[in-house]
Amino acid sequence: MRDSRRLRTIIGLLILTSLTLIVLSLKGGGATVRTGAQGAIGPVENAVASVTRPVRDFFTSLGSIGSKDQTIADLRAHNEELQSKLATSEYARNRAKELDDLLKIAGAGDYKVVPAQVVGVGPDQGFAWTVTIDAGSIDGLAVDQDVITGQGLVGRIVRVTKTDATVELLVDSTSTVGARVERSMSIGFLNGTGEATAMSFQLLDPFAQIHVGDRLVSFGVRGGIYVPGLPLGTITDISGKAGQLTRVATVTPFVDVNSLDLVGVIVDPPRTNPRDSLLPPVASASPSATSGSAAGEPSPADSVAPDAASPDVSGNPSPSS
Amino acid sequence: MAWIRGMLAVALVVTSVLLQLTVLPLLHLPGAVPNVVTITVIGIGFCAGSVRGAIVGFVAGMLVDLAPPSIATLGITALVLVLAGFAAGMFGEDPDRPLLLIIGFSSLTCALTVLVATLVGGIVGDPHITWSRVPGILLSELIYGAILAALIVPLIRWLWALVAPPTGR
Repeated sequence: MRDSRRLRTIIGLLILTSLTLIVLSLKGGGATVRTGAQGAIGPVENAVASVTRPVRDFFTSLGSIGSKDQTIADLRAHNEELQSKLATSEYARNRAKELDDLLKIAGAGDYKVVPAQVVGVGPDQGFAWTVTIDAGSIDGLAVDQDVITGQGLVGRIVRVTKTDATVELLVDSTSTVGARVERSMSIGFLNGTGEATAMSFQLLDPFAQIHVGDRLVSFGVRGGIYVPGLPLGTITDISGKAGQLTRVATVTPFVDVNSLDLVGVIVDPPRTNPRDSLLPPVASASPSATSGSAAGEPSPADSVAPDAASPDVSGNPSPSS
Repeated sequence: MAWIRGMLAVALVVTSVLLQLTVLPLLHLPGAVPNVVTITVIGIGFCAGSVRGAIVGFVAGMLVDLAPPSIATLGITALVLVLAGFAAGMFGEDPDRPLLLIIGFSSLTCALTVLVATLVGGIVGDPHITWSRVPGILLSELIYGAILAALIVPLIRWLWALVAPPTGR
């Protein structure tokens, strides 16, 4: 009898505490608690990630080992050893390539980039797309800095402690970035939908021409959150006709959020807008269009509404009449 | 021997949270990331009873809500894991139950916690909830929940008996 009352009290208290926390958190509290928790748990995550890395690589390489023949048992052992060595070296090669891509894009955009490793990923069950990276304020990181890979923009930093930082990814449903269509120069907003491969792009000018396959770069202002000119994604689908207010394009991001590993944080944005020069050259379409816009001059033939396309954040005077 | 079991519970919970956030997502398994934390709480609930199960669930949920890179509403995971730990404690006090039933219960509870958390998040207006991803996540919770329960629940039971033999000693 007494026991069941105690039971009810404890359970009730725990549920009440949870509910109070939910309400407090919705009111915007809990930020300091979170930063404290990140300071305490972040370094442990860093350590766990670095310790488990070889083990993880070994397990991923195990999949390729398989013969069960008794007569080649010793060969198999030898093979396993070689395979795990191969997997490790392949992993090292992949990392070198990622770093190489990152350096290339940083060099082309004239950014100062701090490399970092993804050490933690937010639970799918919470629906938020966030990752922890192993660089923090001692590496020069601050809130609202952009995170990139060699493929393009990944997201922005939302919380930072001494040794690590939390990154909100572009595909998160609360994320919005100003975007510009590569060739037509039309601008709009690229919103995350919470899905890994589909973002929605809303044009400011309902008459602007967009096509499936058009590529988007970020449209930032100096001093704003996003650095201009970072590759974002490719338009894969357009719903609604030209002139409709609800015209929305579906965009697949260049960066695959499910395989993030090595990323870079832009700690020092470029002085001038790199425009489209960070996009990889188009394989099939005319390469002259890309190089033309890379030089900073939009070709007027591509743009239906040059007036709407003229806002230019880099400080250059408008090229059209 | 209560304090040894308490420490074991804390160690299990911390390990499961770290596994969940730093090791499992980087393995890139198909579907949603397996929910080790929920299964661990359920496993402890089976052994420790409903009150202790609920307390362990609360601690585990707070850790998940606070550990980077979480930006979700604080307290939702704590709430559902309190319920999960409590339910496991209520269910699991009979020792001679077939493993299959335990696995079924764990996997179902695992999916239910996600469903309840999503609904609570939806009610309080969590902007991150993406309804189109819910069915896929629920399905992988059911499948991974069953697999993890088959591995983790016996392991926890064994550890539990190891650190403090039940009676007669």
